[in-house]
Amino acid sequence: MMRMYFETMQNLLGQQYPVAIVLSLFAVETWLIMRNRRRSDDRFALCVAIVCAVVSPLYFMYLRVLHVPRGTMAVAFQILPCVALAAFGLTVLGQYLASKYGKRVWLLLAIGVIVLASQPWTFTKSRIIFSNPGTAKVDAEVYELADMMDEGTAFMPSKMATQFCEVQSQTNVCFDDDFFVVKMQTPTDMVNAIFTYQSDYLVCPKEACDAEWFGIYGYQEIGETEHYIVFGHRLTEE
Amino acid sequence: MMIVLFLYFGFLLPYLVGRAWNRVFSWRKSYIGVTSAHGIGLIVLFAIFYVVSFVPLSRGMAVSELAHWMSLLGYGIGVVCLVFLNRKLWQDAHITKVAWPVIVLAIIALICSVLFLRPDSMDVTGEMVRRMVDSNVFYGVTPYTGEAWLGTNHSPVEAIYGIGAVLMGIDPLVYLHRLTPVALLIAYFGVYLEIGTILFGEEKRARDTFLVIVIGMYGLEVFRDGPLLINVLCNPWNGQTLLGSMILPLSFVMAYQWLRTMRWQCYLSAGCLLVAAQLCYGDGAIMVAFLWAVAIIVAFALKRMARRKAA
Repeated sequence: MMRMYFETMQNLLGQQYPVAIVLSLFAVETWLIMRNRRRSDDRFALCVAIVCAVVSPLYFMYLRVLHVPRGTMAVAFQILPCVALAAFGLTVLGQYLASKYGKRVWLLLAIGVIVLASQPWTFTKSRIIFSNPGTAKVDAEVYELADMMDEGTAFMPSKMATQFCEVQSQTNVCFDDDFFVVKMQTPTDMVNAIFTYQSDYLVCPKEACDAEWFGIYGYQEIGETEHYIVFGHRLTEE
Repeated sequence: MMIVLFLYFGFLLPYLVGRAWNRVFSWRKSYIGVTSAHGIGLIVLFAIFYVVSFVPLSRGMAVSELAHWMSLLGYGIGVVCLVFLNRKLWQDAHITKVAWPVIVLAIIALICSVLFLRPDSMDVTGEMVRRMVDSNVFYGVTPYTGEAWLGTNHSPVEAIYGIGAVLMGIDPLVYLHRLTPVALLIAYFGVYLEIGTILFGEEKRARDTFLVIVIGMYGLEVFRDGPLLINVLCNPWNGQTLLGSMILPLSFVMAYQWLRTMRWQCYLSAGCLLVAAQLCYGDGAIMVAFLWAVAIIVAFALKRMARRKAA
């Protein structure tokens, strides 16, 4: 029982940085309250600390015992309003430390949080577009691959492609460290891929691109080939 | 006309509803800030929408038809709220004073969200709304596979955007990605302002620091391939995000507030949050109920401990 509890805790701490922040902050917070160093009306913080430290992993254990799928667990985990509580804890802690050691504590705290929070992160530029969405650049490699392959091709981040291939039993070609090229057999596969995994663009045969489903996307003909580049929904607003 | 409609349904109506709600049901009878009223009003409107639209949606009413009825309901609610508030639209309005760095930071976040950020990879609201508007059917097909949608959708938050796009008469994706973040991010800000006020009371400096940290943490989320529920700046419209970053935090903090007051009005507010949570996510109501149960059990245990200590 205890082992399962700690395993669950470890799993949560490893995957979800807000919980790590919340737990560590409220551990400090609880300690401060216990020692009566802060104002008396802080039972709420203690309540939160108990919820974070005890109830959340217990709830997950309960889900685990019931064999609830992982996806549901991940969603259920978010039952804790992490960001608001983490911000609350940071504010209280920062104020306490600043009153004791001066305002520079805030800077140190900010750097600390960024460093701590960035550890398990995967910084990705793909979320941010500074160019006009309608004129997204298409890499030269896409043109070459479009010529090479008869079937449709999807470019997607490697972890998503791996998932896709596991599910669909598709063959895939490693493009580089970050991207996979997945060979699509049918238009339905492509629809699944673009909807489920939200690849930035697909290259597909002309007949597949003419399918009704792609009508909701913008598409652009590639030079003299018989392929279209179909842009994901996020790039079609213009 | 489009701008007038957007200003009415996106800002004025939630503000009116929030103020009326605060006057009738809230624990705080004196005043409510403009942004907080907007945020809470939006949650109340979500709850009303869910209750009113459940039957038409399950019976397959066309998007344009429901949009027509919903717009009439929206005007009706606005008039009722206005009458209830004695036509005092701004007289009692309380502008919560927030430090200028917080406002600047919030405006930067808003601009980035509207102009530069792309939705999370798991967000499919755009496709759903586009499909609804194009086919004039609410949940005809599932956007993941293109197959026919079976059964009733128990969290039809996308229907609101579909109706909004039809009413405005603009491209659904432009409506979703460019207009809704403006209204929704202000609502998020209002809710966190309310949370900050509840948590820190009259300590304005602490409340402002709290807001800066909240905006900063949501800003960091942009660079992270993290859960959809807290990715506010990239997809504020998503049901999961609305639940995880707006309704759940507010529920948790309100549960704490109720334990101190225990007024009957609290239960009505609770019901409203529960329904709004259900609109946003399939298990939203269960999540909120679980959260309250935990908060209430822990708080009662603490109260009892304090009584024993005092005795």
